[in-house]
Amino acid sequence: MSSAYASASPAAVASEPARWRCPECGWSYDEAQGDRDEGFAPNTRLESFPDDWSCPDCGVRDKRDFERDPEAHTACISNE
Amino acid sequence: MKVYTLERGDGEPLRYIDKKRFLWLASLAIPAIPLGTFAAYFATRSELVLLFPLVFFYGIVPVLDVLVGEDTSNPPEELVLELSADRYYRWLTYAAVPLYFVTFGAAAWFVGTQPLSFLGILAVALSVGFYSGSAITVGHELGHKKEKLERWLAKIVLAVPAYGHFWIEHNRGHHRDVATPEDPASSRFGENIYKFALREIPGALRRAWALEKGRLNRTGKSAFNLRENEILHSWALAAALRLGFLAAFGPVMIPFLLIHDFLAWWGLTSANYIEHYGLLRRMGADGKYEKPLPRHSWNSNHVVSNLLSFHLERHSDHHAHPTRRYQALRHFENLPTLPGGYSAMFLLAYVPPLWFRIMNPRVLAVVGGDLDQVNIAPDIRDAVLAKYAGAPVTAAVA
Repeated sequence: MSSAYASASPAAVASEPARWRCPECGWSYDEAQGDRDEGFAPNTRLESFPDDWSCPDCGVRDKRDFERDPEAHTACISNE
Repeated sequence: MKVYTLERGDGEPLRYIDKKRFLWLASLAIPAIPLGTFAAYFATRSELVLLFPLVFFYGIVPVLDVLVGEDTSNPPEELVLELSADRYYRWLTYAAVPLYFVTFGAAAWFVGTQPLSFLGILAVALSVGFYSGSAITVGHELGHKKEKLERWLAKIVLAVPAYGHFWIEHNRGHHRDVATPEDPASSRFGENIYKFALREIPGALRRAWALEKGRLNRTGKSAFNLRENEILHSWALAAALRLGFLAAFGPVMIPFLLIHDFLAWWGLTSANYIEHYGLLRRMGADGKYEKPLPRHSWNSNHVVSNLLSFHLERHSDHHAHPTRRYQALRHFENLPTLPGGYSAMFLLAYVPPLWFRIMNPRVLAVVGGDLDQVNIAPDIRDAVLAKYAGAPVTAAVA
Protein backbone atom coordinates (compact mmCIF):
# COMPACT_ATOMS: atom_id res chain seq x y z
CA MET A 1 0.00 0.00 0.00
CA SER A 2 2.76 2.44 0.80
CA SER A 3 5.49 1.26 -1.53
CA ALA A 4 6.58 4.82 -2.23
CA TYR A 5 7.32 5.30 1.42
CA ALA A 6 9.25 2.11 1.75
CA SER A 7 11.35 2.09 -1.38
CA ALA A 8 13.58 5.11 -0.72
CA SER A 9 17.16 3.91 -0.74
CA PRO A 10 19.23 4.26 2.45
CA ALA A 11 21.66 6.54 0.62
CA ALA A 12 18.87 8.89 -0.39
CA VAL A 13 17.39 8.93 3.08
CA ALA A 14 20.76 9.80 4.51
CA SER A 15 21.10 12.92 2.35
CA GLU A 16 19.48 16.27 3.09
CA PRO A 17 15.90 16.60 1.85
CA ALA A 18 15.82 18.66 -1.35
CA ARG A 19 13.32 20.81 -3.18
CA TRP A 20 12.45 20.02 -6.79
CA ARG A 21 10.44 21.67 -9.51
CA CYS A 22 8.89 20.59 -12.79
CA PRO A 23 10.77 22.26 -15.64
CA GLU A 24 7.58 22.51 -17.69
CA CYS A 25 4.95 23.88 -15.36
CA GLY A 26 6.74 24.82 -12.16
CA TRP A 27 4.96 22.33 -9.87
CA SER A 28 7.24 22.10 -6.86
CA TYR A 29 7.99 19.35 -4.40
CA ASP A 30 9.67 19.72 -1.06
CA GLU A 31 10.97 16.37 0.15
CA ALA A 32 10.93 17.51 3.76
CA GLN A 33 7.23 18.25 3.59
CA GLY A 34 6.09 15.53 1.19
CA ASP A 35 2.81 16.01 -0.68
CA ARG A 36 -0.46 14.92 0.82
CA ASP A 37 -2.48 15.00 -2.41
CA GLU A 38 0.06 12.88 -4.22
CA GLY A 39 0.38 10.50 -1.31
CA PHE A 40 4.03 11.17 -0.49
CA ALA A 41 4.77 11.35 3.23
CA PRO A 42 7.25 13.89 4.63
CA ASN A 43 10.84 12.91 3.79
CA THR A 44 9.83 10.88 0.73
CA ARG A 45 12.62 11.34 -1.80
CA LEU A 46 11.80 12.24 -5.38
CA GLU A 47 13.89 9.31 -6.60
CA SER A 48 11.63 6.92 -4.77
CA PHE A 49 8.54 8.07 -6.69
CA PRO A 50 7.01 5.36 -8.92
CA ASP A 51 8.62 5.20 -12.37
CA ASP A 52 5.27 5.81 -14.07
CA TRP A 53 4.47 8.84 -11.92
CA SER A 54 4.15 12.07 -13.86
CA CYS A 55 3.87 15.69 -12.78
CA PRO A 56 0.38 16.16 -11.31
CA ASP A 57 -0.09 19.55 -12.97
CA CYS A 58 1.18 19.14 -16.53
CA GLY A 59 1.51 15.35 -16.83
CA VAL A 60 4.34 15.60 -19.36
CA ARG A 61 7.40 15.50 -17.11
CA ASP A 62 8.45 12.74 -14.72
CA LYS A 63 10.89 12.47 -11.86
CA ARG A 64 13.89 12.15 -14.19
CA ASP A 65 13.15 15.58 -15.60
CA PHE A 66 12.72 17.45 -12.34
CA GLU A 67 15.23 20.16 -11.46
CA ARG A 68 16.64 21.08 -8.08
CA ASP A 69 14.81 24.13 -6.81
CA PRO A 70 16.84 26.18 -4.37
CA GLU A 71 14.02 28.68 -3.90
CA ALA A 72 11.14 27.92 -1.55
CA HIS A 73 8.25 28.80 -3.78
CA THR A 74 5.04 26.99 -4.46
CA ALA A 75 3.62 28.55 -7.58
CA CYS A 76 4.96 29.34 -11.00
CA ILE A 77 2.98 29.82 -14.15
CA SER A 78 5.85 30.34 -16.52
CA ASN A 79 4.43 28.04 -19.15
CA GLU A 80 0.77 28.89 -18.88
CA MET B 1 -10.83 46.18 -27.47
CA LYS B 2 -8.33 45.54 -24.73
CA VAL B 3 -4.72 46.34 -25.59
CA TYR B 4 -1.98 44.34 -23.90
CA THR B 5 1.21 46.34 -23.60
CA LEU B 6 4.73 45.76 -22.44
CA GLU B 7 7.05 48.68 -21.82
CA ARG B 8 10.42 48.09 -23.38
CA GLY B 9 13.43 50.16 -22.48
CA ASP B 10 14.51 50.67 -26.07
CA GLY B 11 11.58 52.70 -27.39
CA GLU B 12 8.08 51.71 -28.51
CA PRO B 13 6.15 49.52 -26.09
CA LEU B 14 5.05 46.12 -27.39
CA ARG B 15 1.30 46.15 -28.05
CA TYR B 16 -1.09 43.33 -28.80
CA ILE B 17 -4.81 43.19 -29.47
CA ASP B 18 -6.51 39.79 -29.53
CA LYS B 19 -8.76 40.06 -32.55
CA LYS B 20 -10.58 36.91 -31.46
CA ARG B 21 -11.31 38.25 -27.97
CA PHE B 22 -15.06 38.59 -28.43
CA LEU B 23 -15.29 35.82 -31.00
CA TRP B 24 -14.48 33.37 -28.20
CA LEU B 25 -18.05 34.01 -27.05
CA ALA B 26 -18.95 31.64 -29.89
CA SER B 27 -17.78 28.78 -27.67
CA LEU B 28 -20.95 29.36 -25.66
CA ALA B 29 -23.05 28.77 -28.79
CA ILE B 30 -22.51 25.03 -28.58
CA PRO B 31 -24.55 24.47 -25.42
CA ALA B 32 -27.01 27.22 -26.46
CA ILE B 33 -27.90 25.89 -29.92
CA PRO B 34 -29.98 22.91 -28.73
CA LEU B 35 -31.96 25.29 -26.51
CA GLY B 36 -32.79 27.29 -29.63
CA THR B 37 -34.10 24.18 -31.35
CA PHE B 38 -36.54 23.54 -28.51
CA ALA B 39 -37.90 27.07 -28.97
CA ALA B 40 -38.07 26.46 -32.73
CA TYR B 41 -40.05 23.27 -32.08
CA PHE B 42 -42.66 25.20 -30.10
CA ALA B 43 -42.89 27.76 -32.91
CA THR B 44 -43.16 25.23 -35.74
CA ARG B 45 -44.20 21.92 -34.09
CA SER B 46 -41.80 20.26 -36.49
CA GLU B 47 -39.51 17.58 -35.08
CA LEU B 48 -37.09 18.14 -37.93
CA VAL B 49 -35.74 21.27 -36.26
CA LEU B 50 -34.45 19.09 -33.43
CA LEU B 51 -31.76 17.79 -35.76
CA PHE B 52 -30.40 21.28 -36.39
CA PRO B 53 -27.50 20.97 -33.89
CA LEU B 54 -26.08 18.06 -35.89
CA VAL B 55 -26.68 19.87 -39.18
CA PHE B 56 -24.86 22.87 -37.75
CA PHE B 57 -21.82 20.91 -36.52
CA TYR B 58 -21.42 18.55 -39.46
CA GLY B 59 -22.92 20.62 -42.28
CA ILE B 60 -22.50 24.31 -41.55
CA VAL B 61 -19.27 24.45 -39.53
CA PRO B 62 -17.18 22.68 -42.23
CA VAL B 63 -18.48 25.18 -44.79
CA LEU B 64 -17.75 28.11 -42.46
CA ASP B 65 -14.27 26.69 -41.87
CA VAL B 66 -13.64 26.78 -45.60
CA LEU B 67 -15.19 30.23 -46.08
CA VAL B 68 -13.56 31.91 -43.07
CA GLY B 69 -10.31 30.03 -43.51
CA GLU B 70 -7.32 29.72 -41.21
CA ASP B 71 -5.57 31.99 -38.75
CA THR B 72 -1.92 31.31 -38.03
CA SER B 73 -1.26 34.37 -35.89
CA ASN B 74 0.18 34.06 -32.39
CA PRO B 75 0.28 36.45 -29.45
CA PRO B 76 3.77 37.83 -28.77
CA GLU B 77 5.51 35.56 -26.30
CA GLU B 78 6.37 38.50 -24.02
CA LEU B 79 2.67 39.20 -23.47
CA VAL B 80 1.49 35.66 -22.89
CA LEU B 81 1.56 36.01 -19.11
CA GLU B 82 -0.64 39.10 -19.31
CA LEU B 83 -2.98 37.46 -21.82
CA SER B 84 -3.21 34.34 -19.65
CA ALA B 85 -3.93 36.37 -16.54
CA ASP B 86 -6.86 38.19 -18.21
CA ARG B 87 -9.81 36.71 -16.38
CA TYR B 88 -12.25 37.45 -19.20
CA TYR B 89 -11.12 34.31 -21.00
CA ARG B 90 -11.56 32.03 -18.06
CA TRP B 91 -14.98 33.52 -17.33
CA LEU B 92 -16.12 32.15 -20.67
CA THR B 93 -15.16 28.65 -19.57
CA TYR B 94 -16.85 29.21 -16.22
CA ALA B 95 -20.03 30.44 -17.96
CA ALA B 96 -20.12 27.38 -20.19
CA VAL B 97 -20.42 25.06 -17.18
CA PRO B 98 -23.96 26.01 -16.02
CA LEU B 99 -25.04 26.38 -19.63
CA TYR B 100 -24.30 22.70 -20.30
CA PHE B 101 -26.41 21.74 -17.27
CA VAL B 102 -29.27 23.97 -18.41
CA THR B 103 -29.23 22.42 -21.87
CA PHE B 104 -29.03 18.88 -20.51
CA GLY B 105 -31.87 19.54 -18.04
CA ALA B 106 -33.98 21.28 -20.66
CA ALA B 107 -33.50 18.36 -23.03
CA ALA B 108 -34.61 15.88 -20.38
CA TRP B 109 -37.63 18.05 -19.59
CA PHE B 110 -38.41 18.43 -23.29
CA VAL B 111 -38.24 14.70 -23.95
CA GLY B 112 -40.12 13.93 -20.74
CA THR B 113 -43.02 16.32 -21.28
CA GLN B 114 -43.55 16.86 -25.01
CA PRO B 115 -45.55 14.54 -27.29
CA LEU B 116 -42.57 13.52 -29.39
CA SER B 117 -42.38 10.55 -31.72
CA PHE B 118 -39.61 8.00 -31.19
CA LEU B 119 -37.66 9.72 -33.96
CA GLY B 120 -38.14 13.07 -32.22
CA ILE B 121 -36.72 11.65 -28.99
CA LEU B 122 -33.87 10.12 -30.96
CA ALA B 123 -33.14 13.48 -32.60
CA VAL B 124 -32.90 15.23 -29.21
CA ALA B 125 -30.80 12.46 -27.69
CA LEU B 126 -28.38 12.44 -30.62
CA SER B 127 -28.11 16.22 -30.92
CA VAL B 128 -27.87 17.11 -27.25
CA GLY B 129 -25.72 14.05 -26.56
CA PHE B 130 -23.18 15.00 -29.17
CA TYR B 131 -23.13 18.58 -27.90
CA SER B 132 -22.71 17.34 -24.33
CA GLY B 133 -19.50 15.84 -25.65
CA SER B 134 -18.32 19.42 -25.95
CA ALA B 135 -18.70 19.67 -22.19
CA ILE B 136 -15.62 17.44 -22.21
CA THR B 137 -13.83 20.15 -24.20
CA VAL B 138 -14.73 22.65 -21.46
CA GLY B 139 -13.73 20.17 -18.77
CA HIS B 140 -10.50 19.64 -20.69
CA GLU B 141 -9.61 23.33 -20.65
CA LEU B 142 -10.55 23.71 -16.99
CA GLY B 143 -9.04 20.43 -15.81
CA HIS B 144 -5.58 21.32 -17.13
CA LYS B 145 -5.34 24.38 -14.92
CA LYS B 146 -3.60 24.64 -11.60
CA GLU B 147 -6.33 26.55 -9.81
CA LYS B 148 -8.59 24.49 -7.55
CA LEU B 149 -11.76 26.30 -8.68
CA GLU B 150 -11.10 25.38 -12.29
CA ARG B 151 -10.42 21.75 -11.45
CA TRP B 152 -13.65 21.55 -9.49
CA LEU B 153 -15.57 23.09 -12.36
CA ALA B 154 -13.99 20.47 -14.64
CA LYS B 155 -15.24 17.66 -12.44
CA ILE B 156 -18.69 19.28 -12.28
CA VAL B 157 -19.13 19.83 -16.02
CA LEU B 158 -17.90 16.29 -16.76
CA ALA B 159 -21.02 15.02 -14.98
CA VAL B 160 -23.08 16.16 -17.99
CA PRO B 161 -21.51 13.57 -20.34
CA ALA B 162 -21.03 11.12 -17.40
CA TYR B 163 -17.30 11.09 -18.09
CA GLY B 164 -15.86 12.18 -14.76
CA HIS B 165 -12.78 10.02 -15.12
CA PHE B 166 -11.69 12.09 -18.09
CA TRP B 167 -9.54 14.73 -16.45
CA ILE B 168 -7.41 12.22 -14.54
CA GLU B 169 -7.20 9.86 -17.48
CA HIS B 170 -6.37 12.67 -19.85
CA ASN B 171 -3.98 14.77 -17.77
CA ARG B 172 -1.98 11.99 -16.23
CA GLY B 173 -2.56 9.13 -18.65
CA HIS B 174 -3.04 10.41 -22.18
CA HIS B 175 -0.49 13.23 -21.85
CA ARG B 176 2.07 10.82 -20.43
CA ASP B 177 1.50 8.04 -22.97
CA VAL B 178 0.43 10.03 -26.02
CA ALA B 179 1.50 8.75 -29.45
CA THR B 180 2.59 5.36 -28.12
CA PRO B 181 0.98 1.93 -28.58
CA GLU B 182 0.26 1.96 -24.83
CA ASP B 183 -2.13 4.90 -25.14
CA PRO B 184 -5.78 3.89 -25.63
CA ALA B 185 -6.51 7.51 -26.60
CA SER B 186 -4.01 7.64 -29.52
CA SER B 187 -5.29 6.03 -32.70
CA ARG B 188 -3.08 3.79 -34.78
CA PHE B 189 -2.29 3.81 -38.47
CA GLY B 190 -4.83 1.56 -40.19
CA GLU B 191 -7.15 1.45 -37.18
CA ASN B 192 -10.62 2.66 -38.06
CA ILE B 193 -12.57 4.83 -35.63
CA TYR B 194 -15.02 2.08 -34.72
CA LYS B 195 -12.26 -0.32 -33.67
CA PHE B 196 -10.54 2.58 -31.96
CA ALA B 197 -13.66 3.37 -29.90
CA LEU B 198 -13.75 -0.20 -28.60
CA ARG B 199 -10.14 0.16 -27.41
CA GLU B 200 -10.34 3.79 -26.28
CA ILE B 201 -13.50 3.89 -24.16
CA PRO B 202 -12.74 0.91 -21.87
CA GLY B 203 -8.99 1.60 -21.98
CA ALA B 204 -9.45 5.16 -20.76
CA LEU B 205 -11.67 4.00 -17.93
CA ARG B 206 -9.15 1.36 -16.82
CA ARG B 207 -6.22 3.78 -16.94
CA ALA B 208 -8.09 6.51 -15.05
CA TRP B 209 -9.05 4.11 -12.30
CA ALA B 210 -5.53 2.67 -12.05
CA LEU B 211 -4.02 6.16 -11.79
CA GLU B 212 -6.44 7.29 -9.09
CA LYS B 213 -6.14 3.99 -7.24
CA GLY B 214 -2.36 4.33 -7.29
CA ARG B 215 -2.52 7.84 -5.87
CA LEU B 216 -4.97 6.88 -3.11
CA ASN B 217 -3.12 3.70 -2.20
CA ARG B 218 0.04 5.74 -1.67
CA THR B 219 -1.84 7.63 1.01
CA GLY B 220 -3.01 4.36 2.53
CA LYS B 221 -6.60 4.95 1.39
CA SER B 222 -9.01 2.77 -0.52
CA ALA B 223 -9.76 3.54 -4.16
CA PHE B 224 -13.43 3.56 -3.19
CA ASN B 225 -13.00 6.41 -0.72
CA LEU B 226 -15.82 8.71 -1.85
CA ARG B 227 -14.35 11.71 -0.11
CA GLU B 228 -10.93 11.43 -1.75
CA ASN B 229 -11.49 9.69 -5.08
CA GLU B 230 -11.75 12.50 -7.63
CA ILE B 231 -13.39 10.26 -10.21
CA LEU B 232 -16.19 9.30 -7.84
CA HIS B 233 -17.01 12.97 -7.16
CA SER B 234 -17.99 13.53 -10.76
CA TRP B 235 -19.63 10.14 -11.19
CA ALA B 236 -21.77 10.74 -8.09
CA LEU B 237 -23.04 14.00 -9.55
CA ALA B 238 -23.66 12.31 -12.92
CA ALA B 239 -25.63 9.52 -11.22
CA ALA B 240 -27.66 11.97 -9.11
CA LEU B 241 -28.60 13.94 -12.22
CA ARG B 242 -29.72 10.87 -14.09
CA LEU B 243 -31.69 9.42 -11.18
CA GLY B 244 -33.36 12.81 -10.76
CA PHE B 245 -34.37 12.86 -14.42
CA LEU B 246 -35.67 9.30 -14.14
CA ALA B 247 -37.74 10.18 -11.08
CA ALA B 248 -39.09 13.34 -12.68
CA PHE B 249 -39.78 12.18 -16.22
CA GLY B 250 -40.12 8.39 -16.04
CA PRO B 251 -38.83 5.48 -18.13
CA VAL B 252 -38.52 7.53 -21.35
CA MET B 253 -35.32 8.82 -19.75
CA ILE B 254 -33.68 5.40 -20.06
CA PRO B 255 -33.28 5.37 -23.87
CA PHE B 256 -32.77 9.13 -23.89
CA LEU B 257 -29.90 8.99 -21.39
CA LEU B 258 -28.29 5.91 -22.91
CA ILE B 259 -28.18 7.50 -26.35
CA HIS B 260 -27.24 10.93 -24.94
CA ASP B 261 -24.31 9.58 -22.96
CA PHE B 262 -23.03 7.38 -25.75
CA LEU B 263 -23.11 10.28 -28.21
CA ALA B 264 -21.24 12.48 -25.73
CA TRP B 265 -18.53 9.84 -25.42
CA TRP B 266 -18.52 9.44 -29.19
CA GLY B 267 -17.73 13.15 -29.51
CA LEU B 268 -14.61 12.64 -27.40
CA THR B 269 -13.72 9.48 -29.31
CA SER B 270 -13.96 11.45 -32.56
CA ALA B 271 -11.55 14.10 -31.27
CA ASN B 272 -9.11 11.59 -29.81
CA TYR B 273 -9.15 9.62 -33.04
CA ILE B 274 -8.00 12.49 -35.20
CA GLU B 275 -5.57 14.18 -32.81
CA HIS B 276 -2.65 11.72 -32.96
CA TYR B 277 -3.57 9.29 -35.73
CA GLY B 278 -0.60 7.09 -36.65
CA LEU B 279 2.02 9.27 -34.94
CA LEU B 280 4.62 7.55 -32.76
CA ARG B 281 7.24 8.67 -30.24
CA ARG B 282 10.55 6.90 -30.73
CA MET B 283 11.89 4.56 -28.07
CA GLY B 284 15.24 5.65 -26.64
CA ALA B 285 18.20 3.43 -25.74
CA ASP B 286 17.02 3.51 -22.12
CA GLY B 287 13.75 1.82 -23.09
CA LYS B 288 11.76 5.03 -22.51
CA TYR B 289 9.83 6.90 -25.14
CA GLU B 290 11.12 10.28 -26.24
CA LYS B 291 9.25 13.27 -24.83
CA PRO B 292 6.06 14.22 -26.66
CA LEU B 293 7.13 16.63 -29.39
CA PRO B 294 5.15 18.95 -31.68
CA ARG B 295 5.34 16.34 -34.45
CA HIS B 296 3.25 13.95 -32.35
CA SER B 297 -0.08 15.80 -32.73
CA TRP B 298 -2.27 16.81 -35.64
CA ASN B 299 -3.23 20.47 -35.87
CA SER B 300 -5.66 22.77 -37.57
CA ASN B 301 -5.87 26.55 -37.66
CA HIS B 302 -9.41 26.74 -39.00
CA VAL B 303 -10.95 29.70 -37.24
CA VAL B 304 -14.55 28.67 -36.75
CA SER B 305 -14.07 25.17 -35.40
CA ASN B 306 -11.25 26.44 -33.18
CA LEU B 307 -13.53 29.08 -31.71
CA LEU B 308 -16.09 26.40 -30.92
CA SER B 309 -13.52 24.17 -29.20
CA PHE B 310 -11.36 26.57 -27.15
CA HIS B 311 -8.43 26.28 -29.57
CA LEU B 312 -8.23 22.52 -29.10
CA GLU B 313 -7.08 22.19 -32.69
CA ARG B 314 -3.76 23.85 -31.88
CA HIS B 315 -2.97 20.53 -30.39
CA SER B 316 0.82 20.36 -30.58
CA ASP B 317 1.30 23.42 -28.40
CA HIS B 318 -1.29 22.05 -26.00
CA HIS B 319 0.68 18.82 -25.60
CA ALA B 320 3.96 20.66 -25.26
CA HIS B 321 2.54 23.01 -22.61
CA PRO B 322 -0.62 21.42 -21.19
CA THR B 323 -1.32 24.15 -18.62
CA ARG B 324 -1.16 26.97 -21.21
CA ARG B 325 -4.51 28.73 -21.54
CA TYR B 326 -6.54 28.42 -24.72
CA GLN B 327 -6.21 32.05 -25.75
CA ALA B 328 -2.41 31.71 -25.72
CA LEU B 329 -1.99 28.48 -27.70
CA ARG B 330 0.28 28.91 -30.69
CA HIS B 331 0.68 27.89 -34.27
CA PHE B 332 4.10 26.69 -35.42
CA GLU B 333 5.37 26.04 -38.91
CA ASN B 334 5.84 22.50 -40.21
CA LEU B 335 3.53 20.79 -37.75
CA PRO B 336 1.47 17.77 -38.74
CA THR B 337 -1.58 19.49 -40.20
CA LEU B 338 -5.09 18.24 -40.82
CA PRO B 339 -6.64 19.21 -44.13
CA GLY B 340 -9.76 20.52 -42.38
CA GLY B 341 -11.16 21.60 -39.03
CA TYR B 342 -12.47 19.08 -36.52
CA SER B 343 -16.04 19.05 -37.88
CA ALA B 344 -14.92 18.04 -41.36
CA MET B 345 -12.31 15.62 -40.04
CA PHE B 346 -14.83 13.88 -37.78
CA LEU B 347 -17.04 13.26 -40.81
CA LEU B 348 -14.06 11.93 -42.73
CA ALA B 349 -13.15 9.62 -39.84
CA TYR B 350 -16.62 8.08 -39.92
CA VAL B 351 -15.90 6.78 -43.44
CA PRO B 352 -12.73 4.75 -42.85
CA PRO B 353 -11.73 4.15 -46.51
CA LEU B 354 -11.83 7.90 -47.14
CA TRP B 355 -9.99 8.64 -43.91
CA PHE B 356 -7.20 6.20 -44.75
CA ARG B 357 -6.95 7.53 -48.28
CA ILE B 358 -6.50 11.11 -47.14
CA MET B 359 -4.64 10.67 -43.86
CA ASN B 360 -2.32 7.71 -44.46
CA PRO B 361 -0.20 9.60 -47.01
CA ARG B 362 -0.06 12.55 -44.61
CA VAL B 363 1.24 10.34 -41.81
CA LEU B 364 3.95 8.99 -44.11
CA ALA B 365 4.84 12.52 -45.18
CA VAL B 366 5.19 13.67 -41.57
CA VAL B 367 7.67 10.88 -40.81
CA GLY B 368 9.44 11.12 -44.17
CA GLY B 369 8.39 7.57 -45.00
CA ASP B 370 10.11 6.15 -41.89
CA LEU B 371 7.71 3.43 -40.75
CA ASP B 372 9.60 3.13 -37.45
CA GLN B 373 7.96 6.42 -36.53
CA VAL B 374 4.45 5.23 -37.29
CA ASN B 375 2.10 3.85 -34.63
CA ILE B 376 0.77 0.91 -36.67
CA ALA B 377 -2.19 -1.23 -35.64
CA PRO B 378 -0.57 -4.60 -34.74
CA ASP B 379 -3.10 -6.73 -36.62
CA ILE B 380 -2.17 -5.11 -39.93
CA ARG B 381 1.47 -4.35 -39.19
CA ASP B 382 2.93 -6.84 -41.67
CA ALA B 383 0.56 -5.71 -44.42
CA VAL B 384 1.42 -2.05 -43.80
CA LEU B 385 5.16 -2.75 -43.82
CA ALA B 386 4.81 -4.72 -47.07
CA LYS B 387 2.72 -2.02 -48.68
CA TYR B 388 4.57 1.12 -47.63
CA ALA B 389 8.20 0.14 -47.05
CA GLY B 390 10.22 2.09 -49.57
CA ALA B 391 7.13 3.79 -50.99
CA PRO B 392 7.65 7.35 -52.22
CA VAL B 393 6.40 10.09 -49.92
CA THR B 394 4.08 12.19 -52.02
CA ALA B 395 1.73 14.20 -49.82
CA ALA B 396 2.53 17.58 -48.40
CA VAL B 397 2.40 17.89 -44.62
CA ALA B 398 0.82 21.31 -44.47
